[in-house]
Amino acid sequence: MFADNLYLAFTSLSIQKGILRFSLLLNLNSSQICPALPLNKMSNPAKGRSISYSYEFLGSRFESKLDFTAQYFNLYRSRLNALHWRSIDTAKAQRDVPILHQIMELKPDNVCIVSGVIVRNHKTRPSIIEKYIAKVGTLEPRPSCFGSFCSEKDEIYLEDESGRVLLDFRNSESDWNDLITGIVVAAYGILRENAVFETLSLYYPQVDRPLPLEKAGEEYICFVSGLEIGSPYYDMILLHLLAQFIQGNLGTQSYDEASKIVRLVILGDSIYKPDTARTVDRKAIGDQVIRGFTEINESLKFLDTFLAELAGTIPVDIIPGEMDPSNCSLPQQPLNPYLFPIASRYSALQSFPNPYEFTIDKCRILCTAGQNISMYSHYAPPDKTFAELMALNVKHRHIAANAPDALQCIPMQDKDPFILDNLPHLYVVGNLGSYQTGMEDGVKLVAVPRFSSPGHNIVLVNRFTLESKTISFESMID
Amino acid sequence: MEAGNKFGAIKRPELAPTYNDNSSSICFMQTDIDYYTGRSPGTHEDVPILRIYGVTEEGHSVMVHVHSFAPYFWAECPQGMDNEFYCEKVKQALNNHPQCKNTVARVTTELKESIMFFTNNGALPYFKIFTYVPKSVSQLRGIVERGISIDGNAFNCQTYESNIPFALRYMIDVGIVGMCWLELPAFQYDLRYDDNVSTAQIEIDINYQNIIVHKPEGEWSKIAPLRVLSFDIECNNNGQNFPTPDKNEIIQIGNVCKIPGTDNVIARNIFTLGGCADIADAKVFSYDKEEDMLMGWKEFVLSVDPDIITGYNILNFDYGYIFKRAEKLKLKKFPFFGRVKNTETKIKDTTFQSKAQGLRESKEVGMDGRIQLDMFQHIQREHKLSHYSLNSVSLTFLKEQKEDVHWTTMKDLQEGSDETRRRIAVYCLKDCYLPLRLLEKLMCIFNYAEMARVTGVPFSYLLTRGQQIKVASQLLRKAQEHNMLIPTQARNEGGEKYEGAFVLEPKKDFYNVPIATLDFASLYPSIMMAHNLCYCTLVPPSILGRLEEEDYITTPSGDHFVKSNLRKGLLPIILEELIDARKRAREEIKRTEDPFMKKVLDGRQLALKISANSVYGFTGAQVGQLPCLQISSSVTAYGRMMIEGTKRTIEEYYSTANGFPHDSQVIYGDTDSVMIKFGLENLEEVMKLGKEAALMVSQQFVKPIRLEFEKAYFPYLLMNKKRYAGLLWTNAEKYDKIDMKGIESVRRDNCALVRETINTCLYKLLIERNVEDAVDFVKGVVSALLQNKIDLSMLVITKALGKKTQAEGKSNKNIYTAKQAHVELSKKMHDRDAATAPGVGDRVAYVMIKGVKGQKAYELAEDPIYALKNDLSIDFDYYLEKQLKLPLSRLFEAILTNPNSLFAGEHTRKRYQPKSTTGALSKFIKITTTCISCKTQIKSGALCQSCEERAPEIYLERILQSNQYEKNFQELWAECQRCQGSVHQEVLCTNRDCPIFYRREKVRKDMCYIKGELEKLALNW
Repeated sequence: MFADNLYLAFTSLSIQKGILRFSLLLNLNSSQICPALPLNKMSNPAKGRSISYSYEFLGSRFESKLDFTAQYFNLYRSRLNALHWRSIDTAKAQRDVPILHQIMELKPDNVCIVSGVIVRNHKTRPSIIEKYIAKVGTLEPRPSCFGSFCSEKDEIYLEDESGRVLLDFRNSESDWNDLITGIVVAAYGILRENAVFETLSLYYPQVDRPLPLEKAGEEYICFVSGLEIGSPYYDMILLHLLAQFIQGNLGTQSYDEASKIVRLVILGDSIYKPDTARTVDRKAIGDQVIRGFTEINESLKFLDTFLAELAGTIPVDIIPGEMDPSNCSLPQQPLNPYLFPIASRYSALQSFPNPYEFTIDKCRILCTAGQNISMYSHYAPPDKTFAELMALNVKHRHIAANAPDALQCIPMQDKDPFILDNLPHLYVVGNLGSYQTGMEDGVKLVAVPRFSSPGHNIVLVNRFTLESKTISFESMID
Repeated sequence: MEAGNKFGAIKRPELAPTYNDNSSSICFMQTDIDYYTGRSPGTHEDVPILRIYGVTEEGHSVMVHVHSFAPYFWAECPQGMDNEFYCEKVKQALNNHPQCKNTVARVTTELKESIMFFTNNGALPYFKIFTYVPKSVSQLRGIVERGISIDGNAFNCQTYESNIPFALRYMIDVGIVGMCWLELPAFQYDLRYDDNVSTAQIEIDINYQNIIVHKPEGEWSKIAPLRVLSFDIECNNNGQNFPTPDKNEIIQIGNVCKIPGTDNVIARNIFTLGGCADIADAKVFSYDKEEDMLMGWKEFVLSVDPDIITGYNILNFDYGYIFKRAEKLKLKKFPFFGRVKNTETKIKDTTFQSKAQGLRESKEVGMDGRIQLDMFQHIQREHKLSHYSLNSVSLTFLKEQKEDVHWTTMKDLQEGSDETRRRIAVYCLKDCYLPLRLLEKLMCIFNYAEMARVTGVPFSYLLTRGQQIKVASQLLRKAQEHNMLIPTQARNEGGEKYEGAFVLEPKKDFYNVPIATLDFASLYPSIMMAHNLCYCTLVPPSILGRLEEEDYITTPSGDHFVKSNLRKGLLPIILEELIDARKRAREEIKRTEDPFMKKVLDGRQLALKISANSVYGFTGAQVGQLPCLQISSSVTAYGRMMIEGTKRTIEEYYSTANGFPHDSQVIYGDTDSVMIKFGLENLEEVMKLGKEAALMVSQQFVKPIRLEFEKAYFPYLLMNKKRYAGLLWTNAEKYDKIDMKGIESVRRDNCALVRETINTCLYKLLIERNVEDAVDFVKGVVSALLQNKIDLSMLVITKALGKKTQAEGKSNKNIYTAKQAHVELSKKMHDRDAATAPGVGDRVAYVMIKGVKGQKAYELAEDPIYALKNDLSIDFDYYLEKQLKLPLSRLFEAILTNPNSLFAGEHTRKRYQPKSTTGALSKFIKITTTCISCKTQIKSGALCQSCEERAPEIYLERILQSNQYEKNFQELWAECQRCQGSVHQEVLCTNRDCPIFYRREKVRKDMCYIKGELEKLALNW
C-alpha cells in the first residue's frame, strides 16, 4: 500500500548554496516498505497498472573485474577474431575475387578482399605526450579536446596481426569519412605499386537481423537519463514532478500515459559531478587532491529516496554513466547497492552494468549511458547526428569501436563484449544532446536527451510497435 | 639480370644521347673536390690531379679529372733577390735540401703586399714556389722558415699561404665556391668511355683553365637533385652484453633513399638475416647468410649511388660495426663504397677541437665522392639540447615519439618467427626514416649548401672542420682580389688575454613594469666596419709618426688603425658584402614564389648572418690561423664604451630634470643590449619611448652602428648576470612568449618535479604576475614532497652510463674515480637481472631512496620500477637539497630577501614516516591491519570506528581517485599502442627517455592498490 498523503520533507538538502529553490517533497511511505515485490510479474491494482511480461537480463558479458594489469592489444585481437570472417562473408557474397587471410599476403596489382581493424591517424588530435613534457617557456594553453578531430587529411590504415596497409579511398564507393579506429571491415580493392591499398568498397560483418515483434498493444518502457541530481543548472522540483508523473499523480490526462509505463530505465548520469571533482588543480603538482565527494554523497542521499519512491511503483533499472560513482571505463560496473540503503531494499530496483541489455518478452533492448556516442562524435565528421552515429554503431556491429583508442575501457583479455553478436530490436543511448530516432538494419534507434537539459524530456517507447515519443516537463513548471 | 633491377628501379636516370660525345657542354653542381697524384697526359712525373664530383640537373652523377693545376706557396723575398738568378738559386737550394730532394718545380717572383699592418710601402716582390705534389708544401714551409742558405748566406723567410689545403687553393684561384655550378664547354673536354676509374655515369678529363665557373646567383642558385641515403643497422646479442662485432652478427640493415625537398623516394627497403614477413611500404630482402646480406647491401648502396649518406650516429657506431664485421667474416671485396673503384673505404680516428665544443673524438669515413652527414653529430653541433637520443631529438623537432626496442630483446625477436623479425624491421626502418626527416625538417642540405657557397669551402669541410677555415677562405679570396698575401703563422698556444664581452652590473629585482630593451644590430660587425678595423689598417707604433693625425684613429684599447680614405680594410669589405648580400637575399625571399627557392634563399641569409658574426671570432681565436688581438680587443673595448655611453645618455635625458615623470634607469646591459626601466606602467608608452631612445642614441655613433628597439619585457625577473626571464612583447596587444636566459640549465639531469615547479612558478610570476601565489606554490610542492605525495614518476632522474667502469679488476688502481650513483645502480641491476640491466650508452633512470645510517650516497640510487614494487621510501631530503633548492633559490633570489624560507618553516614540519621494510629491524615488524582512511590500527575490516560513519564519503573519494587513474591508464597505454604503430602487438618499448614510461607503470600499480581498497570497503558494507 502506498499512501499519497504521507510526505517526507527533505529540508536538509543543501547540496550547494542556492541550488534548490524549493525544498523537495517526496512521498514515501517509510514505514511500509515492501521487500518482496515479485520480480517478473507485478501488479498495482490500486493504480490500475497491470504489468505482465517476462524479463531477462542479457548483459552478463558486461560484468567484469576491474583488472588493469594487462595491455590493450588483446582486446583488438579478440575483436578481429570474432569479426574477421564475418566481414569477409559479407564481402564474399558480393564480390567474386580472391580472399586473403592476412594483410601481409597482399601483392601488388591483384584485386582481392582483405579484412582487418581500421586504424585512423587523426592529424589534428593532440598527443597526450605534450601534456607530460615540461618545457620551460611554452606555457600556451593546451589544445582543447572538444570539437571533431576528423579531417580529410587523416591517414586510414587497415591492420591485423601481420601488419598494416594505408588505404586510399579516392575511387571508393563506400562512405569512409566516418571510419574510426577499432572498426572491423573487409576491404575490396587492389594494392598499388606505392604500397597503398586502393579501396573500392568496404563490407561490415554479417549478423542476423532481429525477428519481427508479434503482438501489438500499448505498453511503454520509460527511458530517462542525466538526472544530474545536485546540478546547480536546473530546478530540482522537476525531479519531484517526474516522480509524481510516473506514479500517476499528475492529473487524469497524464495518468493515462503513466499507467501504461511498465518499466523505468535510468540511463546514467543520475548524480551531478561537481567541477571540483573533475579538474585537477595546477597547485596539485603530482599530488592529486580529490574533491567533491562530500557534495556527491549528499546527492546520493537524495537519489536514494527518489529511487525508493519509484521502485515502490514500477520496476526500475539503473545503470551508471560518466558522472556516476562507479568505475569510469566501459563496461561500467553496477552502482553499488549500498549507495542506496533505502531504495535497495526494494527488489524492484535493480542496478546493472553499462552497457545494459535485456529482453521484455521477445523484444531485445540494448542501452548505453552515452559515452560511446559522445566520444564517437569527436572522431566522426562534425555534421553527423546522434541517431546517425548510433546507426553507424549498428552498421559496424560494434558499439564502442574507439575503445580503447579514445574511449576508456577495461583492458579485457579474452573477449570484446561490445560486439553486436545479435542485433537488438531497440538501441537506446542516453545523455545525448537531443531526442532523435532512426532505423538501421531493422534496429530502432532512440537517442535520449538529458533530463537536466532544457526541455527536461523523458522518452517512452512502445514495447510492441517500438514507436517512441517524448514527454517534456518544461511546460509543467511556470 | 642487371644488378640494379634486383632492388627495384633505383638507378640514376639513363643518359641521354647528347652525353655520347663532347659536342655539347655539360653543366653540373659540384658536391666535393679532392685530388690524387698520377700521370696527366703529357707529364712524365706524378702530378696532382683534382677530382670534382657532382650531379647534373637531370640527376646524373659526374666525375671530372682536372689537370695542370700546380701546387705552390709564397715566401718573403729578401731585398735585391727578385730576379731570375736568385729564383733559380732558391730552387736549387731547396731541391738540394736533404729533407725534400727535388720537390720544387719552379720559383718565380711577383709583386704582392702582406695583409699584416698598414706600412704604406706599396707592393713588394715575393717568391712564388711551385712544387710537384701538394704534400711537399708543408715540408718546404718548415725549411724555408728555418732558413735556406744561398751562397753561404742563410735567409729565413716568412712563408705566406702555405697551409691551405690543395683543393681549396685550387677553388680560390679559379673562383669555385662550395656547391656551385660548373660548365664544361663543348669540345673542351674528353669523355672517358672504357677506362673509367669511377662509378659515376659521366667521367671526364679537362684542363683546369677550361672550366667555366658560375657564381651561385640568379639561375645558378638552384640545387641539383642530390640523393640522400639514410641507413641503420640492428645487431644481435647474447641477451646480456651490448653487441660487439667480434661476437654478434648484424641482423638487419634498413635503408631509405630520397631527394630532400621533394617527395621523390627512391628506395625504402630492409636487408634481413633470416626470413621476414612482408612490410607494406618497404621491400624486404632476406638472406640466410650474413655474408650474403652484407654483400647484397654493398651492391645496393653502389646501385643507388647516394651523394650524401646520413643516419643517426653512423660514424661512431654503424660504420665501425659493419666494417669490423666484414673483416671478421673475411669479406675482402666488401669495403669499397666510394665512387672511385678499387679504393678501399677506411675509417680513421679523428679528433675535432673547437672552442665551442671542446675536444671531441670521432671517426672519419673516407668514401670518395660521398658526403657523410651524421645527423647525431649535426644536432650535437648545432643545437643545445639536454638529451641527444634519436627519440628525444625527434620529439623536440618532429613532435614524434619513437618506439624503443631495447637491444636485449633483439635476440628473442631475431630467434622467433618471420613475424617477430618483421617487428625488428619496422623498428629499424623507423630509425632510418627519422634522421632523414630531421635532415629535411632542419633544412640541412639547403643550409649547408648555402654556407658552402657563401664561405667558399667544400660541403665536406663544414662537417669535418671548424669555424676558422670558413673565415679564412673568405679572407684568402678577398686578399687575392686586392693583391695581398696572408702570412702563415706558427700556432702559438696561450698568449695574452684580452677583455671579453662587457656586462653591466644587474640591478636584481622582479620588475612589474615594462622594461624596454635596446639592441645594437650586429654590434661587432658594425664596429669593425665603422672604425675600419682590419689587419691591413692596423698601424704599427713604429710608423705612427709618419702619419697625419687625421688619417688614423686610436681605439679605446689604445691601438691605431688608418681611416678608410687611406686604405679600406679587407674585413670591413667582407662584412659589407655579407650584410649587403643578406639584405638582397631577404628581399629576394619576398619576391620568390617557388617554395623550393625560398628554402634555398633562407638558407643563404642564415649562412650570411652566421658568417658575418664569425669574423670577429676569427681575429680573437688565440690558437687560430691569424689571430690579431689588437683588432679583437679594440672591438670589445668599443662595445663596452658604447654600452656605457648609452646608459649615460639615456639616464641623463629621460629624467625628471628633463620633464619626464620618472628618472629612467638602465637596469642591465649585456654585450649588445641594454634594458631600460622608464618607470612608466603603460606598455605602449614604454615602447614609444624605446623607439625614440634608440633613434636618439644611434645618432651619436658612427655609421653603420645602430641601436634598435625591438622588444620590451613585462614583467621582467632579473636574477643575476646572464640569468633572467621575462614575458616578451614586440607589440602592445599580445605577448610573444616567455623569454629566458640561464634557466634552461635546469633541464639537464633534473627530475620532472624541478622542471614542472620552475615552469609553474614562471607562469605564476610572469603571466599571472602573482608573486605570493608562486611562493605558496613552491611551499606546497615542498610540503607535498615531504609528505610523500609526489608522484614517483616526477622524481625520476636519468643519466647516461658512460664507458665501462674500472671494476674489471685489471684496470689501473692508481686512478681514483669517484663512485657515481647511476653507475653503482647499473651494477646492482645487473646482478638482479642481467637481461634488463642498462648497458653502456643506455640512460640509467633512478630515484634516490632513503638509506640506513652509514650508507654512502652513491649506494642509494634505485631503479624506479624496483622502488615502486618494493615500496621503498624516497629520500625527500635529497630531492629538497640537491634538486629543488638551487634552481629555486636562484629563481627567487631577486624576489625574496631570504629564499631559504621556501625550504624551511611551518610547511616543512609535517613529514611522512615510512614504514621500514628494508632495514635490519624490519623482520621484527608485524604487519597490522590499518584503517584505510586514517591509518590507525584496527583489528579487522576496512575502517576504524570513527571513520565508519564517513564510509560512503570515503568510498566516493576512492572512486573518484580511481576514475583519475583509469583515465590515465587508458590515455597512456593507448598512446603507446599508437606510437608503436600497431594495435595488435604487445607494447615492448622500454624507452626511459619517454615522458610516459614510468607513468604507465605507476598507474598500473596505483590501479591495483586502489582496487584493493575499494574491494575492502565494499566488503565492509
